[in-house]
Amino acid sequence: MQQHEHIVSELDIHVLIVTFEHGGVARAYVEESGLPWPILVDESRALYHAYGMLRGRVRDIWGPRTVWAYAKEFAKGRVPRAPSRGVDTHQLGGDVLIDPSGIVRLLHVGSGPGDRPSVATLLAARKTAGRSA
Amino acid sequence: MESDLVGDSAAAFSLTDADGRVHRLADYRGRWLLLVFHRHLG
Repeated sequence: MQQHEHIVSELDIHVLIVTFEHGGVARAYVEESGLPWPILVDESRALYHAYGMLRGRVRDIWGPRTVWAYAKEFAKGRVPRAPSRGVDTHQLGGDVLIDPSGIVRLLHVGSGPGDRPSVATLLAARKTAGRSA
Repeated sequence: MESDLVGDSAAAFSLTDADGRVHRLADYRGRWLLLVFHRHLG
């Protein structure tokens, strides 16, 4: 996502990161990653659940798509940060694009770490909804 | 996996960020907003 910071900026899309890990872990992550956006803490996972982001199956979390996603990171010289001790690694993530009137225009629940909508998909949702919003 | 919630009103939230500031959905009314939910911070 940070690789596309300039794109979301050009599209005037405000980005909020959401984590279920507690504030101390979130603060450390922001410091280490230099994340340019706020990271919100949803420890109860109420917002995760509101968008259908529940716990994934083992074969989705640790399947070929995951292996490929991590292989690409290693190939770029980026070593993924190990999850915090005891963290729930089966919690699914995803992306929700909300228009200025508060309507959901794109909602993608990822089946694993490599499963995110492309920037092109975000662009398309933004442009399509922009014509009708 | 896409969702049937597209076209519905976004779920309201009031969450605190890593710096202790509170963010509400209503604060972003009038702007495009992208929520990126992490699996875990790794």
